Amino acid sequence: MKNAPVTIKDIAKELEVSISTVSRALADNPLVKASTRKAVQDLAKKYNYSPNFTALSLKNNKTNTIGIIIPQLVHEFFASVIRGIEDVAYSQKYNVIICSSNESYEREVSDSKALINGRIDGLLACMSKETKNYEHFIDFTDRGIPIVFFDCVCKAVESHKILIDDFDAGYRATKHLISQGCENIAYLGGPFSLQINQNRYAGYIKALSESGLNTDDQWIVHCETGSFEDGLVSSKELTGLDSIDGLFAGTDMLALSAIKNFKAAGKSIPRDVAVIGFSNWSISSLYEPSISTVDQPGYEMGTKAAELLLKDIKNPYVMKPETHILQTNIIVRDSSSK
Amino acid sequence: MSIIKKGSVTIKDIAQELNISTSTVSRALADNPLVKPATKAAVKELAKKYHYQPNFTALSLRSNKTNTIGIIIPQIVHEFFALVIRGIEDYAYSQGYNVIICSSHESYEREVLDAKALLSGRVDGLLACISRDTNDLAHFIEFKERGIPIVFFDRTSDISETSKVEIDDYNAAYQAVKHLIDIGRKSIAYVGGSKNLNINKDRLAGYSKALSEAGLKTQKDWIVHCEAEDFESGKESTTDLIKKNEIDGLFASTDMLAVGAIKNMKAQGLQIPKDIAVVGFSNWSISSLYEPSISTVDQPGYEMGLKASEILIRHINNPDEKNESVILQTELIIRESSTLV
Repeated sequence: MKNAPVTIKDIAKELEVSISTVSRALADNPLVKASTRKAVQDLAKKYNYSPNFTALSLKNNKTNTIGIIIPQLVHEFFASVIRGIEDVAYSQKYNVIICSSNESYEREVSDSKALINGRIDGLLACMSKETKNYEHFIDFTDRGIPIVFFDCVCKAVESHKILIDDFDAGYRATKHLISQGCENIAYLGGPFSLQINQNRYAGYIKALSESGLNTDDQWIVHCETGSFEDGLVSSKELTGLDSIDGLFAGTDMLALSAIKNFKAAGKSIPRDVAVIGFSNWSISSLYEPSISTVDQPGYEMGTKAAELLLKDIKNPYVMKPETHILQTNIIVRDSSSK
Repeated sequence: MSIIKKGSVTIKDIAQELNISTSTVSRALADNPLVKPATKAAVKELAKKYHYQPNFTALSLRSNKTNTIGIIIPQIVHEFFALVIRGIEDYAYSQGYNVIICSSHESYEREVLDAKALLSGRVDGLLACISRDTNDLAHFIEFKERGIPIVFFDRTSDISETSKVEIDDYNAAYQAVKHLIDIGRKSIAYVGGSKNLNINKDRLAGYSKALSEAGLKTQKDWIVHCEAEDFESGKESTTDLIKKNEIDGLFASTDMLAVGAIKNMKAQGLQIPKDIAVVGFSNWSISSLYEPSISTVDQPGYEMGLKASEILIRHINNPDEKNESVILQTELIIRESSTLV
């Protein structure tokens, strides 16, 4: 027999039975004689017959697959989100396929097309830093494919949204430094164009003003990328200042870069400067001193997002957009324990 | 056409509303010069208004191509795999292919499910790195039997007649251990990941070769195999080894295992590299950020991804393409953990 996929027709012809008998036999329908059923099933196995899923899915319009678009792959936070999504999806017999946009708008658009062509039943998305145009997302909802946004959400699309309370997290991280006796607290944050960073910064300002503390232009640095290398350069001046005794960093990588600079400037952590980061990446617990940080509920974000999406897939007509804001945990380690 | 459902407009609906034939609509959408510009503009405008989109699945049933490549990887948070994926994507996108990724989380069961999902999604080809748990390869053989090419990367399988892109793990480990010997170390331990994986068997063999070539001996309890390759495993599995105070060098098959072992050394008051010199594997960012910075083996992940997707797309375009086995070389990066001052 040819190498191309075997069809029900081929099996029917070889066994000289009707196509519907083959179809019934494969579904183990008792209306078909046991011996015929066995003959059909044996032959199907021999030829690796497998139903044409695409044709099937055209009929019932479901693929039982959900798609995820994330901006970065090497990112421990996104990895926990994905883990949460997958656990809920697999438990409800859904498969998960992932596309990464690498923080590029163009790739996000092309990923969206691939997922629409792959006929996913629903989409979970975190927008890239570059995205300012949302038509590729609206394309999904126009076709009746539900979307749930998480972390970097798109306000222009009517959908469920799951966010982290970054304002409260920034506020509590700064409050923690104040509780350790810090009075001159600096801020080293990621790209200020992102809402999450504006919120973290606003939380920092709120905590200071509430305690009657001042900040200074020199003490506030917004980095362009938030990476370690970026932090190393951007925090150089800040970490040389003798006036500061505390630092809140918008990512653990930024915290680490600042600590390296403080050490190079002869300062001891936490004695001279107490430091807290953000995200609870594994490096924050492995580095010495271990770095205090804000733990984001990534896994919970993933499970919540997947639950909402699956609910919408199953009941497409009752969708009411919900916004969930998840709380964070402050993890106190050596870098801020005075 | 007042009650058009969202997203389900067909060529027929457009033809009806404009009172023209369906083939005119189809030609107009394809920008065929046979159609009057005014008609073309009217069709396109209406198509846009109603979000008309060709039914790609139906199209792909006909042309049998989806221009999508599937990847199955064992772990998502893995700097090496991320580099491989970056390489795969860069080449695939440049050739007009999209990439979708499934992760097996090192589970055989999930790998089988992922394979099914990708088969249902009708990918044109598969790039796979097998999970630590996988012994049965039937789900991969299914791709081959349906004429969907596979290229394995990094952790390959013994399925004959598939293309593979691998790292020369044997030589990488040999070079790493030889470096420890060159700086005068004589009692060198091995801490490695799952014995089930060929890459770890090769790394262990490279370690043994370097020792025997230099006339050095090892001991049974200087060779530690961990189930996982993370920090915790490295720490737990080396506690006894470090307490014995017998070794002066250590080769770890991942950087995370190296960090775990170094934490034990520090806890014992040992100095690195003075008392024990350490070399890890993979060049994860932690190896350069940790103090002391950790010597390691840099793997050409990006290059691996480029090569694997290049071979796969060749197989997709030409089913008679011969299988290819590519072995990539690594680079030893020497940092503080094995530099004597």
